[in-house]
Amino acid sequence: MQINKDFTIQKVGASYVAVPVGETSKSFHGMVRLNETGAFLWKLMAEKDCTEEELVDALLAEYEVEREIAARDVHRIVEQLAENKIFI
Amino acid sequence: MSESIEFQLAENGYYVSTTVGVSMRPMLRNRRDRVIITPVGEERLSKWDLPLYRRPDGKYVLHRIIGVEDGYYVIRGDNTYAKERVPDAWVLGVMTEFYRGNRHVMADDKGYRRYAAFWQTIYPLRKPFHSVRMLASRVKHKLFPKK
Repeated sequence: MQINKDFTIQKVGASYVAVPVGETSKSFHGMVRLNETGAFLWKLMAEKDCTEEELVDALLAEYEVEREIAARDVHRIVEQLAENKIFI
Repeated sequence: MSESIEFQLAENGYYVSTTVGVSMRPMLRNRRDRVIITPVGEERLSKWDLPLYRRPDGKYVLHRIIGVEDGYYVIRGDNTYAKERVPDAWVLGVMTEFYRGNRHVMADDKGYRRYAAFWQTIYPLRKPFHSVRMLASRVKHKLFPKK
């Protein structure tokens, strides 16, 4: 999965919010709220095409968390982004 | 994702959006820059603030306050010439920060407030400057037509 470059992420207080720019902003009205984990994964997927497995490994390298929980978080966030058609 | 701006302001306490249109140029560019709006409280807004308001026809607008009057604001876009009278009741929120490209600016930043005041103060010069620029552009295209 790779993030469409027509989306950008902003920090607002303690949260992160993804909004569209450019042509995509004509068809996508709204914002996607993310927590810190979501923002961390977003940055990875904005840089390159990643698999869920790679995202789980990256999360485990960054945070002290069990693989099962990391995998569940990654899957939830990937689903949220996919539902909003944020991937290329 | 399709909840109204009013709902998102009430639910999240903020609303983030890409700006659309040219009426706040040069500060905010069409579909490139992002604004963060927070709900307005009891306190009235100040001159140079950027309120987000909804006109009775349903259109959302983000323009600058150039006058604070009893019960309404006098408002004008940085790139428009007409003033608008906006009752307090139309105002949904106020821009508290924005991103111009990757540059993050807080609305209470002193440099930004100086920019806002300067830009509105030179308003009388904007129209002739714009006219001269348009004329120069037309002359240029006439002399050097695109092939």
